[in-house]
Amino acid sequence: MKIFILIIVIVLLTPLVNNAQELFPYSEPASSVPKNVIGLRYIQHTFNEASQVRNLFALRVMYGLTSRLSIMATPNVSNHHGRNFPDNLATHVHEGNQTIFSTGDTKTNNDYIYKFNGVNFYTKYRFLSNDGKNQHFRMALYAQGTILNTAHTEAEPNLMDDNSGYGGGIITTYLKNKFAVSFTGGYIVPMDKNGFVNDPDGSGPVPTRIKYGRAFEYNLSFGYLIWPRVYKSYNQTNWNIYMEFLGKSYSAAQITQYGFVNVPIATPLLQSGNYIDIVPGIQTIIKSNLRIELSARLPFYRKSYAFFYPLYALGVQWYFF
Amino acid sequence: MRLSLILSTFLLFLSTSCFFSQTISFDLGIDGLTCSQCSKSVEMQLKKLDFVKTVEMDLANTRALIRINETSILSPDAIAKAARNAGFSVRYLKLLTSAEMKPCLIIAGFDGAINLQNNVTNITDKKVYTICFLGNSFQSKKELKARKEKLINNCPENTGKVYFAKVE
Repeated sequence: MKIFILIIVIVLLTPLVNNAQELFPYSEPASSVPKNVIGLRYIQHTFNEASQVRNLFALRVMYGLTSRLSIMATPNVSNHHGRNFPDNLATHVHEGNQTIFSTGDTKTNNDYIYKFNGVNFYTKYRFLSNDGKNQHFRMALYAQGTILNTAHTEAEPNLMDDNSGYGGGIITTYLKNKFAVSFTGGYIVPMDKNGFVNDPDGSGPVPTRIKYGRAFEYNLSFGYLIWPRVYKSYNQTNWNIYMEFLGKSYSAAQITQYGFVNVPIATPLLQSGNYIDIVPGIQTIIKSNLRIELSARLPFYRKSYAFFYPLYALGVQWYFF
Repeated sequence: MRLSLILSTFLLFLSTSCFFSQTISFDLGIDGLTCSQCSKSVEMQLKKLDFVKTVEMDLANTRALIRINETSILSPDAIAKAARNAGFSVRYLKLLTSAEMKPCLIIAGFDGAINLQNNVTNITDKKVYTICFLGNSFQSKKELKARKEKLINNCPENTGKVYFAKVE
């Protein structure tokens, strides 16, 4: 961990003589998509759950509606969940690097098929721009909503591929020469999920509703241009490094059956929690348009139970000017 | 001779104000640019304008040299708007023109054109001069604030939409 802090310090102390990068792998900057321009972004998240490889594949379509207003839609496919709840919904725990010592059942190696989860919709409005030569300070408001058909089994909400719901927040981005920093603060309101859980006594499927936790998000992202030292042409391949801290605090989930019976929660996965992850990443931009980045998400303070570490992310993006 | 001599202020009621393009090029300074991808966004927005022939981006100095089609009608506002559409701000906009080209300024609401050369003094020995547009659309707030009082005093009328121009 100290090495990451050292990198940040080096970045901060390096002479600032060139342009910065705010094209963070995870967080959206306050800047907007150029007006009347369409962008496509391929997103892949991969992690191992014990011996099972979990993947998320998403394709984000972006459009600059005005110079300040951007809209995005992200349909996605994954093998993270099934359509319905597992029978041990209220007691399940994870194995692998999330091993929890519990007497509850263990959900291990569920071989979920790949399925279309749904679509995340996102919009961002840049309401403040204080631009200078090779620098800017910008603020934007964002809102997002997701429509999914998937049975998420943890309290922590995630509007990309786990939960239907909505949310919003504010983004503040500052760039000075080679260095970029951005803070995102937001709130997530997941929708309840209805399904069935097979009763252990064999009496059949029991109508079950899960109310997921609501969450605050707080992300702090740093970016730094390491090459070229001086911009001369669009044909120069850019190399950028990033360090993002992704935090979330969420409330506990509630499970009810038959509409009124509160099911005791016997797993930390459905209780309230908070964590901060650290995400080092590297990015190359070819021909000043094709953007390719790799990152690895690691626990920094506590951990998420909604996925396993390390979570590797690949992003490929292109603007159609 | 002071390069920054303010020679004239032009009042343009702009719904359609424009220039005939007996000019050479525009020099556009852009604020907020932070990466080559951002520069490319500006370039592509500028290239969508009918009167733009070529755009050369100076990545290090975050400026664009815009060459125009000689038979086109030009719009400084459209250039500034293109930069904003890409998500950035205009630091300055200059028209680089030749005294020999006899540029003329068409002002909406006026009959005919104003020959800039008739309003320009002390430049007869110059082959090329620069008209720098001053105003909300063409400069950073910081620079405009510094010039505003002086410009207003020189403006014959200050109602409606105004282009301030200086010859350098």
